[in-house]
Amino acid sequence: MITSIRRLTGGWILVLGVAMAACSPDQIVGGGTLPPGTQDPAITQTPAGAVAAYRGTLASFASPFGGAPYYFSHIVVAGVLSDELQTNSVGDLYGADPLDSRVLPEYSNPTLEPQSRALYVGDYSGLHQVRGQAEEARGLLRAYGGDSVRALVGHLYAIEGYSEIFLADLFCSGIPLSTVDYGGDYTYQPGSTTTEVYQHAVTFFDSATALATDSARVLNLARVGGGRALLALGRYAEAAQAVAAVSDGFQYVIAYAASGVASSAANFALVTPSNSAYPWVASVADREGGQGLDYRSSGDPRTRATAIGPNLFGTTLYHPDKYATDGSSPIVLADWVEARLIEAEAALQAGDVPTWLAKLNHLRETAITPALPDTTDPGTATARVDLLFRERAFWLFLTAHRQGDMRRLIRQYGRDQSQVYPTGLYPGGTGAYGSDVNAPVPALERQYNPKFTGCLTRGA
Amino acid sequence: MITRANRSAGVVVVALLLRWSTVAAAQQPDTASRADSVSKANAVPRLQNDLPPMQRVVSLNASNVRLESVLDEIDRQAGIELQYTARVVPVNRRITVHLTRVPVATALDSVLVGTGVHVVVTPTGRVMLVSLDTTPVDTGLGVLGGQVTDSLTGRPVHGAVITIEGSSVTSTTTDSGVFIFSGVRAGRRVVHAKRIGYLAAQSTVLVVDSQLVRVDILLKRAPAALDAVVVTATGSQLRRELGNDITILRADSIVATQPVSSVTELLATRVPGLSVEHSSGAPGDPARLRLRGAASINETNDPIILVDGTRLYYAQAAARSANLAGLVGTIYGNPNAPSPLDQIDPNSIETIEVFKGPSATTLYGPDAANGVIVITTKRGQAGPPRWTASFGHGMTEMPGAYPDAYFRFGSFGQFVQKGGVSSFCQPTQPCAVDSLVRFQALNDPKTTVLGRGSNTAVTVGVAGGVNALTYALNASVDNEVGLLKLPDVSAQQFTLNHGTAPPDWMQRPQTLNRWSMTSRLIAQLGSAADVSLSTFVTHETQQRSTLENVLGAFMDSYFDRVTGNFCSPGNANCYAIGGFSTRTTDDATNFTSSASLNWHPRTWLTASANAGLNVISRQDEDLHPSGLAPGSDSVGAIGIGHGSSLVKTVTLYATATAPLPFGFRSTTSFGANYVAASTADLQAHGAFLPAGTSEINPTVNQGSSNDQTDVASFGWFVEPRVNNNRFFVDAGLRLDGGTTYGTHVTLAAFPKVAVSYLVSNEPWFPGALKPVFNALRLRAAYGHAGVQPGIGDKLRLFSRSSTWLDGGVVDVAQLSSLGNTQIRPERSTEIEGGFDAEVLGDRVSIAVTGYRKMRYDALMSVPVAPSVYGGILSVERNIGTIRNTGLEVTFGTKLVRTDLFDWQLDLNLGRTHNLVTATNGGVPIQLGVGQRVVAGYPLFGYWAPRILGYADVDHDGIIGPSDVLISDSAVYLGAPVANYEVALHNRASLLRGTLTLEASLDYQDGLTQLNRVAVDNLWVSRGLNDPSAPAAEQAAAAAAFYNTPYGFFETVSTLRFTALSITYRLPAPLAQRLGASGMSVSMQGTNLGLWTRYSGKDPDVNTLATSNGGRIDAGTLPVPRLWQFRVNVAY
Repeated sequence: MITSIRRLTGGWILVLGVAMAACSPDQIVGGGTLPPGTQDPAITQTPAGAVAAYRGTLASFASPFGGAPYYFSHIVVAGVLSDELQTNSVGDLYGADPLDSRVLPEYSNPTLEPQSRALYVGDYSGLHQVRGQAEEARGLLRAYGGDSVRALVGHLYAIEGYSEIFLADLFCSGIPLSTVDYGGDYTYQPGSTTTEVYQHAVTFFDSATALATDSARVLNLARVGGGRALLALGRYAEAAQAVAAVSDGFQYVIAYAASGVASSAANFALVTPSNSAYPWVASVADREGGQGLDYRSSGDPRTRATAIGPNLFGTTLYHPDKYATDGSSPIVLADWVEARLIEAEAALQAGDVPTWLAKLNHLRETAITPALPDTTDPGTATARVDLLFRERAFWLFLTAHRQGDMRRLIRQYGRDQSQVYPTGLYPGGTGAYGSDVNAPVPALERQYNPKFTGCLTRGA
Repeated sequence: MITRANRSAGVVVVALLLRWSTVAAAQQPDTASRADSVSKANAVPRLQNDLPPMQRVVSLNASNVRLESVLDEIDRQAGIELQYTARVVPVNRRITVHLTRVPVATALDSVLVGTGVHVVVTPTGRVMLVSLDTTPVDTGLGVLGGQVTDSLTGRPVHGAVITIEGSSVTSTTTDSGVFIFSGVRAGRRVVHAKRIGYLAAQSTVLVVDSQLVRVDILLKRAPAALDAVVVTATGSQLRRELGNDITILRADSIVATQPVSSVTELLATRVPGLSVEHSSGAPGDPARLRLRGAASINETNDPIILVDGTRLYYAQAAARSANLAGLVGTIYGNPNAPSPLDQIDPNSIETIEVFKGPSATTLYGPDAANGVIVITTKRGQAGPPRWTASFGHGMTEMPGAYPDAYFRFGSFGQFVQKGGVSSFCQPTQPCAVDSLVRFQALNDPKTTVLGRGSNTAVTVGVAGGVNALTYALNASVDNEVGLLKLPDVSAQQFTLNHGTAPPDWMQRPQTLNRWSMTSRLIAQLGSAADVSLSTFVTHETQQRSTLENVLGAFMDSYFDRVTGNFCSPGNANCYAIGGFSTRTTDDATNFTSSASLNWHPRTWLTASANAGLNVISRQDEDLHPSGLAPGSDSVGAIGIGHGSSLVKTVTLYATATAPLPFGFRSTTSFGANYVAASTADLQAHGAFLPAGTSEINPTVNQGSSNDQTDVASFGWFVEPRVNNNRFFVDAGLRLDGGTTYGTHVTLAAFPKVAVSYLVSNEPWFPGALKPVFNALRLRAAYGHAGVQPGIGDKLRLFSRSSTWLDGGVVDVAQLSSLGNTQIRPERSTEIEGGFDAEVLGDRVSIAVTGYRKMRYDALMSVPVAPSVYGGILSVERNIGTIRNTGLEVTFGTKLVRTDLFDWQLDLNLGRTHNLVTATNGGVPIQLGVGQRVVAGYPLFGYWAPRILGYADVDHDGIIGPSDVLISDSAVYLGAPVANYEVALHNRASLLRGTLTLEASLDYQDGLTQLNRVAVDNLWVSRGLNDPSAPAAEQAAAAAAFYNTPYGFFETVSTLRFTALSITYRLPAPLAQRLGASGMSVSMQGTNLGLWTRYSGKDPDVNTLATSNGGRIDAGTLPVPRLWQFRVNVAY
């Protein structure tokens, strides 16, 4: 009997061994191979796939820049925090709008906060998504795109550079620039100062300029972006030099489609049907908080706005004339007007008042029809700065420049925040405007990024 | 006593035996009442004369008396003409025996233990005691036959598998419980009888050349007994051989008398360790099943379902378990589609076995870590067709009333008068209140959307066949109408506006129609093989409407009788309820088929193969007809969804047995298992649907999407077992490969080992305990099982879409998943131990099991900080460790057992304590509003900032937002599962089973739930509107309105009167006059009472029930109360 047992046991071991050696489970099911489906990553590992990822970056940028109707695009968020836009003025059902009233603490639990209190979170996320998407798309273009994609890679650098400018304009000092690593994992980074973020953007624009030599459109986009970042760094002469080659007439716009033409393609200025409780969530401001500019009452065609009726709380809302109410208007990301404004500021910084004034008047004469009357030198340094920034605010109205300019007035021109931002009693609540000039990095960053410890400073 | 005869006599005897079997069938207590004359009446009660000799009941109570006296007493009580001689039976042996109302077979077995004497029943019914040591001859061929009967009811047991030790020939008992073998080698033969749901039994007989030898076998029912037959991954085993606790439900006997309309209802409260959470009370709505608690955060926690060996698609937590049409989802939220599990007709099921944890499920392959539910459909038995039918009709209603809503009316400058009522006072704004009104639209007959529902079910079954081929067929039709109805006022408005009454689907939007057919054929292929073909087809149509999606809106609406509109302070508006205007339909067909082949080439070797398919096809539709709804909702729209799933299962294994030294025996199984599951879904929708059409083509704003998944796994397994009939050791190993495993892990190994020790069978077991412990078993088991990662978890994926960009629509690709190439399957280990005891005969049975289940490498969706990709992506990482510990107790007792009254009480207790022991470096995972995964706390626990205190600081007489102090950080509030659940089932039988009463209670202790509908309807809460509300209620409402829903997380306990049934079995003559062989009528009720302190309607409603975890009452319809009448007929 013992023999039979041994035979039996030996037989089973033999069968098991042969079976295991001959036929691994993994071989049978094809473990390690890709599951079929519509999301096969191989579909991007082709020239067409890499280009699709490139287009995905551009689409990713359009939404947080000026798309996303209602209240979630950078232009609106930055406009509300600055003096360009105000919310419905009486606050919402949850009280004062923190963004509009400049009271922006880092919420300990943003998921429990009313949505309106954490709008900057969406902006922060959207801009970083552009960065991550651009990094992945660059990797795909380099790996699968061939030699003809240099301009596309340069374009991605430029777009990523603008994303970083927007981050630096709106958020506190201490913004982490983490990365998606092509073909690998991702890498967290600690917070970078505002200066470091602008400097980082400059390197992106430099890369874009180097790569996009055969695309004037991308080249000029990178030039204006580089000039804008250098201006934010206070490197005025370098900024002017960067944009010097941008000829009059250049314009780089982000296009949007009317509502109903294609989903998610309308810009932030879309007015929803009249029976909605929120036909237009923000309103063009006018002398908001005393310090704000007279966008409406000045009658300036560059910032004209039209009343579109009362909102739920009976407040009249003003819609900017420069954008169609169906959301179809393109939004300028960079153009020759900004290039000339950068040159004007550099001239002013250099003490060349005539050139400064000439640059401003050149724009007033040629950049709008009918032409605006020439402006004159107000005679004092402070007034010149005021005029320069007023011209910038009106030329670049609702294109996500004003918030950065207001911080520059504090940071580079020594103004106090109460001289720049709206102050006094906030009309939408029972308290006064706060003193925040930027938004905190959202709490989720501190929660999940082990290298991030919070804003380094909340100053300008 | 045993004489020889010529071989030809055997043929005659076989004929006689067949005739006798026919007579025996006619003698069944419930089908005939013929009383044989008794030649030796003695004091045998007349009722016993109807029973076969070995089934007659005796009671013995003697101490230290001669064996002969005891045998005489058995003879006297049973009248069995007991024959023996003192040369064989040690008549002077002194014994002590205490037995109450046990069958003669049991009594004789008890008093003859250790004597070497065996009992033989002759064809004429004589009972003889013989010594097998004196077997006269061992040559020639005889005939062996007999009858298998239920020890409790005395009814024949059909379908029992009879084997003769040392022979590969098997037989199955007929409808009359009869079996017969011809050509059986003469000599001592051991006959085994097995039947799922019964204890296995064996009997030793002497087969005599050319003679018929009869052996009657009594099978005991085994709800928790040790010798029940269990279908495991490697074939049938006795329960006592397994080291795990396994719950076996005899579905056919439960369904016969208790109100069960789905498999989920069949399982609920009957399996300790199983929690069942309902998603809603709509007809067909699914429930969440969790065995021994959830242990996975992102991957499935659903158990796997096997039907006759074939995997059923059961991804209840998958998004596609909702209606696929998508249109409603974009507007109101998708209703759930019926669960595939509930597409199985409970009337077609014979048994359900529940394997609860990894230690029992190792060999079942991927995803088995969450438990395995093995369903075996009914099988036929040789004999003429045996028809059964049942008809049930019932009524459903919503018990009790909904809590009142509070409306303040007054003057508020910025709101104009709406629809004839004063303006609502917003809780956040100053208002001159002129009235406070309590109202609840759902309690008002004019405005309520709740009516009475109904259900009707008809089932017909037939089973029969010959020895070589048996069949069982079952067909059923169900029709359920839910409670929802269009409010009278809305129906009137509709008629006024359209000149016609609303269509039926608007008036009664919740319906479920289902038909189902099940068949099982078993064919004997010669003497050494059989093949089984099993198929079930179910088709169902479930209809819903968006009316139920606005239940919450009803709850916070005030009905303005002037305008006929509903007004809600929540949106400061008045409107005609338009939520009825979208119809959602789910049309599903479930086809499952399997083929099994069992081959016994040698007495020591068996081989089995099973291949099966499960196909589910669904066609869903959301139809929003143009022009039927008021206002802007009048624009029509349509969405369609087509979905299919295909699961292929192939299992092969062989089992060899061999004797070992010292009385041990080895059994080794070796096999392979392949499972492949594919799903393919298509969604399309369009708006501006022209009137009178229901197609997408003419619509605009069209959109579509499709999704496909393919997952496969393959595993080898080996399972060596050793036992000596008292001590059982069972080991096993499964090696798995899977398509979704990471590229660095291609072969996962899952081992197991289990020990079962029947200590009461040991010679050293104290004799003093033997009268108390009929059986005592100790057991322990340890095993691993896995859960596959989700498809795509290891990959960096992109989503491709057509997006408008720079003036045109272009193809874009955007990251949709960062991917993790290092991913591994989740690994679950479990150790469980416990004991089973049968005490005081079969009067008390106890099973106690403790377990500790660990889930390692739990896949956590680790949030990625926004600075990487905006925070919209997460990465699956094997970083979680989750522990479930628990205790399960099954206690059954026959409190009363007399001829006239029988009372059985069964109690199931399940306790599970869940704890996350490690996470992403201690970083909590936020799952949703209030739900977190935090190390040191239960999975899916609820967290929220706490109310630290409150006081009327501003002395305005109310507790407002400024009067409440709230903590900065969230605190743990509770787990969304009960601490423990106790279910009590009573079954009382009167007049020998003529009248049966069954009642069940279920108690759940301390589950935490978010009363989300109360939070959503804070506008009309008492706390915010009634200054006389308790301060705590005001504080809870104020805090919820501004910051934290802390006050609406409720930890509650519930006691529910789950079921009651009264069944009357008609006397056989009456049934026969009605053309049936048996008939019973029942009055049944479910969900008859609820005792709880929960502030909402019913805490057993969980909107998240089809998700992985969490528990939220978002105001969906609770499970209604049911009363139904049912008739069962047998022909």
